Amino acid sequence: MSMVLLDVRNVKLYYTTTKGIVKAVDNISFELDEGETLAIVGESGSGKSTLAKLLVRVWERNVSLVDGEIYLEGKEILHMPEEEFRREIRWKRIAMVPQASMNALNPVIKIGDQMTEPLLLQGTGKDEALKMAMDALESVGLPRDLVNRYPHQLSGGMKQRVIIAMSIMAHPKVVILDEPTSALDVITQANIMNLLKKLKWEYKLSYIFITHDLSLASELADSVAIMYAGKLVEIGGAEDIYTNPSHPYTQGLISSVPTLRTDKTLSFIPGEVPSLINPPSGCRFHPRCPFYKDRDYLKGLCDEKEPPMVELEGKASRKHLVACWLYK
Amino acid sequence: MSMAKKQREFRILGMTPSEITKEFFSSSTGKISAALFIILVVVSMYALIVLPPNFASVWNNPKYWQLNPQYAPPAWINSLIGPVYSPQVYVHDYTYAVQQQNGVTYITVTFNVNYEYDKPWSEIFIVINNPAIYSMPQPPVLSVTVYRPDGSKITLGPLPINSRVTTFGVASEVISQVNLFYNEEYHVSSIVPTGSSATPYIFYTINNGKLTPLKGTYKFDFVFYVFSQNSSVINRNNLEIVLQGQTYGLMGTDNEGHDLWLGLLAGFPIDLAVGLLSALIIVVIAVIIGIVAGFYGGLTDESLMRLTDFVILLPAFPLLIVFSVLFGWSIWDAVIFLAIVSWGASARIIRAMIMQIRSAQYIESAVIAGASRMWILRNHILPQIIPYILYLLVTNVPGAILTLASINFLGLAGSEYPTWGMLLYYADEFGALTSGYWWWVIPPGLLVAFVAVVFILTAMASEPVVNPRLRYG
Repeated sequence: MSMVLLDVRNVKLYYTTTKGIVKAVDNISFELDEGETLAIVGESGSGKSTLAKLLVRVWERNVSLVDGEIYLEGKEILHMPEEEFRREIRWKRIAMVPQASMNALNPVIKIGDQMTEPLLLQGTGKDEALKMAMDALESVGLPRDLVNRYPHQLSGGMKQRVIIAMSIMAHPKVVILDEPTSALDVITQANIMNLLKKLKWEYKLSYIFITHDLSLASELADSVAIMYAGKLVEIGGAEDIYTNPSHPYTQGLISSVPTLRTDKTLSFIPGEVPSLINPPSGCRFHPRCPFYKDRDYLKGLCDEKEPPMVELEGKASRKHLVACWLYK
Repeated sequence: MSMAKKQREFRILGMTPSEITKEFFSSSTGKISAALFIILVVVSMYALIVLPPNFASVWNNPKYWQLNPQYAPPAWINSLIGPVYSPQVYVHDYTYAVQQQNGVTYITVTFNVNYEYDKPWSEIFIVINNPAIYSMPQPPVLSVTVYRPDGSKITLGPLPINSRVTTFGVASEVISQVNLFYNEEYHVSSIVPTGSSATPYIFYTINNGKLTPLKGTYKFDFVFYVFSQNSSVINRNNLEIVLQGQTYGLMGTDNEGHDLWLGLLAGFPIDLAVGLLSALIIVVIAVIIGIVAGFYGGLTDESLMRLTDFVILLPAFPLLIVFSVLFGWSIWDAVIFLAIVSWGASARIIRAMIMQIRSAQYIESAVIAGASRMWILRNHILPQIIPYILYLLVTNVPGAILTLASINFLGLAGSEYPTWGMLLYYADEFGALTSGYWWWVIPPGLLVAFVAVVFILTAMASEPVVNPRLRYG
């Protein structure tokens, strides 16, 4: 039994907007073991990127509520002073790889200067920081002298490797990967995935892998958590989730993944992700749920009461939990 | 140790000075603009060295220019169209003899000139740089004998020398003697029109009833009668004889006989100073307003942008005209006013750039890594807007020069020093455009354009230096 590295308990993050309060992350709990890769899968707008940002304590100015506890190696980090978190935790214990977007790197600053920036701000000496950056570049398979290059001289895949190198530079325990390959072509995507596996082994990392792509998640994940409308609806070991998807939403997601050779019509989930300002009462998925439509006994239950987390039988060491009235 | 040494290496925008030089000169634009820029600076320095410190008062003193012809084309015009206009001649090569008799000193000055032009010398000036002669009880007297190439001889004078400059051909004695000569020789009366100088008619003859130039060598005998034993009142050092030509110098002259070459030369430092000062003020204001508005946002941004809108909407040029007329502004007042009303658009663009940069992911990363506002400004924002600042600086120079040339062209916001715009104003005022005085219009116009081109080329060539995205390799 491996140790629990990161223990997330009942975290909430709400935003205030002119239209009302957005419950982007609403009462989510999970654990991450040492050396484990947890994939967090959900549609766009399900709050998975907000959850990622919450873990490194980066949020927009209009946040109205941050609640819950996060324990890293037994130490509460969500409410510790920002200065302490910045100096001790961020980059050094928990690092984040932002989405592969065009403006993750400053176009007019050399790679070396950008990579060392967070280290310099934390008080690391310039020479040491540069050496750490070069080492990190080497371990993501890039030449050390890339530190003297500008971002425009790099391909998209190289840029993403640089960003990954930045995240592992200070030898963190947990790396949060926020859709690290979504802007890349499939070949580069495969390269990056292989690189991530290699780094995990070399640096003994634990990953939280945020993606909308279930098949990509299966490449890397030991466990999978499914998010819907700011809530966790199902979590469990990867083999349990893929072979025995239990939540109707998870089932819908898996049946919408295209497969090679089999001649099946792709199914999809009708409707769309609800507004997080005024989410449906009870189970947030019930307006789109096929079971709710068919089974009369669920009426008055799914649309009124929030489903509790139910533990199912599973093959994996991780508990298979699902939030659905079908299993109660 | 070597690493520590490397850190202290001097760098601008992440480049060493030698890298910057290499980058700048890697394009042919860079080489050309550097060459032109050096010419501009060298000529300006040369002008400051060559022109006397009191050049402004010299320029505005008509007496200083009285020996020069007016509206004269450049001297090199003869080498293009043949010997048409007689050049300005300062007579140095003369014989000088002194005799004394009965308390009178006779000073004889003899020289030859070769006349081979269609348009003769318009005047003869005798300059004596000795104030002592004005205070003598009886002024010296000059008598001149001219031996013409056709063997004839004109005797002129005597006329009194009682001022520093004696204009020979306008003396009434000289006019009547020339008229008499033409009457006796060619039976033509009153050859010299009223109000004109008699000097050109010394170099004419009547051929088939028509006035034609008499080409050949002329011998001049000047005899000064000084009624004193002191012969040194007129000597080689204080005597100047000038034949006023119909062409002058490198760049010709204007209505007052100003040497336009000196005027154009004086324009280099002043136009450059005007352009740079104005551009500098514009950029400093625009950068400060743009950065503060873009970086702090909110109410600060809102109020600064309303101010910017106001400044953009000000009709700068009409206001400049009105204020120059009302307050009698000098060129420096105009420069400062122009800068104060011209920063609006630049500030807006800088603000927009900063707003865009500020929302980028790398800024967020820096903020969560604990970067302060100053750190972000210095390391992330300034490197991206410096290219634009430099571009603004360089492109604002020709704009300012052109605007000030325009206001000078309207005869406003003048300076003691002649600017190119003022030369153009006077050229227009005295009909240079309709009378074909091209040497008065084209050179200052071209120079204004030249400065604009130099600065624009410099801006183009410096882009790869300040903008890493444009660098190769």
